[in-house]
Amino acid sequence: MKGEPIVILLVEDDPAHAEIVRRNFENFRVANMLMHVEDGQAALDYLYRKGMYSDPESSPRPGLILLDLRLPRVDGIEVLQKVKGDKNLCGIPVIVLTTSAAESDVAMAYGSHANSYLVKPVDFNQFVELMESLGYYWLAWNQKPF
Amino acid sequence: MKNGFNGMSKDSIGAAVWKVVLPYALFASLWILLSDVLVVLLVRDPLLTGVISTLKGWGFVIVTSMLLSVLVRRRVVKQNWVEANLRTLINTIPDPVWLKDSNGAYLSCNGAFERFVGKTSVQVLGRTDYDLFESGIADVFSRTDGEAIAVGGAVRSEEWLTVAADGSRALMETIKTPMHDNSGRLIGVLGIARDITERKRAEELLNEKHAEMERFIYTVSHDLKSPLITVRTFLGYLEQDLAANDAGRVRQDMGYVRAATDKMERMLGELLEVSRVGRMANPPTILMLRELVAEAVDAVAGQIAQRQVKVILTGDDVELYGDRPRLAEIWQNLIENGVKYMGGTADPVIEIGTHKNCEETVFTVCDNGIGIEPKDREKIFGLFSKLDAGSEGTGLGLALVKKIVEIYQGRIWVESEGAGRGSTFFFTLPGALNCQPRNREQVTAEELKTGSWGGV
Repeated sequence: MKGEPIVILLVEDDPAHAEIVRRNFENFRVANMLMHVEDGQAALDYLYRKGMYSDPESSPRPGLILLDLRLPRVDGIEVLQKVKGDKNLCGIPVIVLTTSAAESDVAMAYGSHANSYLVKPVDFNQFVELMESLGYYWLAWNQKPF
Repeated sequence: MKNGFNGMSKDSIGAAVWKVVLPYALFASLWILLSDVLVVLLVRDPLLTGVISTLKGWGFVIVTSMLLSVLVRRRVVKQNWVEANLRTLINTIPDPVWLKDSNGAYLSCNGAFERFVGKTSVQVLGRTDYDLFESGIADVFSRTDGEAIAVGGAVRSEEWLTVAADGSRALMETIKTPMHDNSGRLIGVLGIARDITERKRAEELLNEKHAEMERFIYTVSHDLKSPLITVRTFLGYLEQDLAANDAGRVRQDMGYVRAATDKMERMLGELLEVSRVGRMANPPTILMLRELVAEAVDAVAGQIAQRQVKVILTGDDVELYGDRPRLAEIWQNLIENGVKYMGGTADPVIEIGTHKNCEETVFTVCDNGIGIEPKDREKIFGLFSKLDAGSEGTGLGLALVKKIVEIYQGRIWVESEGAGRGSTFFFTLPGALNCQPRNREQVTAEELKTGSWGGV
């Protein structure tokens, strides 16, 4: 297992859910950098380094995107499609992390080349376990694209 | 037992014949027996006997002829009555009914059919569908006739047809059944059609409502699950905090739980409000648009003042008829929405107007705020859809407006030249329109509140 730090872009409009993800990631021994944006437009601005995200120093290219689906301004699916349709960004693994278990959402996400689809569990222990597994798999075991 | 073309079965024909033959045979037998005995008893002269026998023969013919004529007339009258009743029955059926022979030529049709095609039965009988309908439809009819014959039973089909009387289009459901005579020989195809336009429309509306309901359930389950996850997860953290005796974290985590339950409460309250729109109604009253708008402006006066938004009313005043508080909610929510999405506009203005063209009255609420991207123009009317995570509210206002507009058989849409260029909401309320617009004047929000423009 490699322990290189990795930049994670979290796209989540609910501050409480963002806090849950942040706390779980703090528990990983690797010093990851969690960048949090609250809507789809901000996510695209970040990825394309527009506006307040124009500085590559403070807004480094992410090695992983955690994406909620129902987002204000630009929808999660739209962000996903933009990322996967862009030859410079399509290599970044995108993990959909959402409350929706609807078949149509799952199909739409995979159809838009999501790398993984995770439903937020209601149970506390399960949520912690999910975040732990996610950390081990995507941050440690998984070979980074670059 | 198969029914023949004339509507009588073999058995009933037999019974009718016997009802004539039996009384005749009985009378004739009695005549022969009794008249011979009487002649033998009364007359001794052989010459006279011969003459009387001849007269008796003639008398027999006359009397039995009269008897037969009475018996047959009785049968015929009865038969005519049955047939007339049947004809009346078929003519009274409000749905078009017709009979075509196996070559497609009309043998019979009822009044409803005559009215539907706009021709009398004389003009119809002997003709085919190609004489009555356009060839495309006639092809369909001749094909379904063939299907009914091939299947040997009823065949159902639906076609859009033009009603001759008023030229309107109607969706007709047709049921065709092959008809056979007593010997089982095919006579033709019996057809009956019914106008199902209304039923179909209701069906489509129901399907639409069903789809809306499914979307609604999806949205609700998704959006209510979100705060639930927050509550459960932070309860887990609270347990950890208590075990670790971390008072600061306890306070912080309880804050998250409280915020989540507040959000749930707000969502449930607004859901209840949306479901109430369709059910709970105040008795309809006649009201003027300007009064309604003044009421709406009053309700959101605080927000208007805070953002220093100028509210202008233009166009004609309109008399409306409907549920006053509900109708006021339309403008109230749209004004609220306009104020909320005003952005950093220097001179914020919301203009409320009416536009009447030859067909309909269109109401408008126009602002010079942040505007709406084309892709969001449908989305904003959905439940809990907010375009900006930072804005207050649960994003239900426009869904509520759409629902009220729909209750009054109206449409609502939004136009915007894009981000930062303001947006205009358009809507119609055909179900609430009572009268013609009256006079035209411009009124500012200040005047609206004081009622100085009154007297319309």
